[in-house]
Amino acid sequence: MPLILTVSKVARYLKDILLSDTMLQDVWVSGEVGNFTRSAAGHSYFTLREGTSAALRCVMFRNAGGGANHLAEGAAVIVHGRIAIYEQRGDLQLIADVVQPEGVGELQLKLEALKAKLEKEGLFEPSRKRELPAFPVKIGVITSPTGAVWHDIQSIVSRRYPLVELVLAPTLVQGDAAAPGIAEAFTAMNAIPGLDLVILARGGGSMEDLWPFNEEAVARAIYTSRAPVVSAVGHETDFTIADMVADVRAPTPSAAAELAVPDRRELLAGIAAAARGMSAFLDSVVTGGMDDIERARARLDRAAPDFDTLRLRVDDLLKNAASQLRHVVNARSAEVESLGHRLTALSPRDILRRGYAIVEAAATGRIVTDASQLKPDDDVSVTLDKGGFNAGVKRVRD
Amino acid sequence: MASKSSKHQPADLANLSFEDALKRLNETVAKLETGKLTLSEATVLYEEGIKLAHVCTEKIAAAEMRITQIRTAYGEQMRMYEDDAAGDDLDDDDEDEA
Repeated sequence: MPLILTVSKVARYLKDILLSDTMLQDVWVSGEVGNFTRSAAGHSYFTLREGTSAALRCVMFRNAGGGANHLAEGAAVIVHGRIAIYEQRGDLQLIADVVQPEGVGELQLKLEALKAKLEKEGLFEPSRKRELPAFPVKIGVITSPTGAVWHDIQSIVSRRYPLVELVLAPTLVQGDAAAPGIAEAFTAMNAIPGLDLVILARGGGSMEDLWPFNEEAVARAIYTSRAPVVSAVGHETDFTIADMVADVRAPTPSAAAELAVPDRRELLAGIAAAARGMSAFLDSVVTGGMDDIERARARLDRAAPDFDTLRLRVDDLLKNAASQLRHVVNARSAEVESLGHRLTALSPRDILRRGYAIVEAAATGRIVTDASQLKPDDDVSVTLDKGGFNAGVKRVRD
Repeated sequence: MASKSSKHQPADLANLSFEDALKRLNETVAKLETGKLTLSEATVLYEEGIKLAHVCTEKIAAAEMRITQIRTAYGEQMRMYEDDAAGDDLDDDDEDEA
């Protein structure tokens, strides 16, 4: 009795065979594009032909990978993908993930295939890129200990921001041992507590020299780094898979060192500016206070009594008082004058004119009003209204 | 002048990390410029700010970069190589010309 299978069993059996064949699961096929169509969903359908002797149906899904733009009727291309069976129709087809134009080197093809794979896994996801800390304390450096790169990184970091500790993980950065060495270095870095970031750096070189940085082991090591990774591989124009997985890509190792730390000169200038700003602000507060005082003084002046007017009034009053005083003085003078007249009227001369005489004792000069003041032979002086005479006392009467 | 805060601040400020001192300096400047402060409050803040500026400047001026090295297979290999060859140059490692 022969073994009888159902169609679906055959299809499943073929599928298992295809899946177990590693060559068919990771294959590059060259050929010419025909029957090229793109569906509304954005998937590409085409046939790869080798002249008229052979043909292979191909599909490239919209989100597959790189190079769909190389697909065009009649284009000579190299397609990467896996061979699968489309059970419903029993067709064999190539499920493509990378398309490259014919004539691209082998390394490039490997690179594109790995890129497509890692992209699908999300290793390049922009949303998982981490920011570098503004003021790092501990920076890991994975590079060759003997080259100019390590020297440059040291001198740039110590010039810009010597507040950090550099932790070097010496590695080979070229040749077959480089990729596992770099992966080992990342594992060692992950064990260091407090690491703020890791710089993975290498100087310029040929595409072959830089190859370790396109290897899967390195990409995965970067992806699993606990600290954010700055990649700096080769020159500005060199793009590696390491650059695509890293959180930050620096164009050169020196640029990586500059990205990793702030610049001391700028910080010092900022600190000085802050100090100046504070001084200026305090000055303005003081000046503002002085202005307030000045304004208050002006208001006080306005509210105070008017001393000038008061002074004028005092002046006026004084003048007034002086003239009053003059009046009083004048009045008194007149009074004095009239009293003088009256006194004149009482003068002894008037009495003498009426026939009286004044007798003075010659010895004492005193006016004699009592006969007892005299004795015989005293000299006396007698004053009359007009003239007088001296005489001697003959006899004193009582 | 010796208010209770400014009395034990200098030591505290000097113990701050550069990053923290710088952050606090910026906060102080912002507080000074935006807050409605009395002259004495402004003076206290100003003094603190100037101290912080000194702390920052001194920290960054006095710092010296430290370098440590972690063990890797390659690092060990190189050490052995250096011990063996006693100063023999590693000229075949010419990958870092940039």
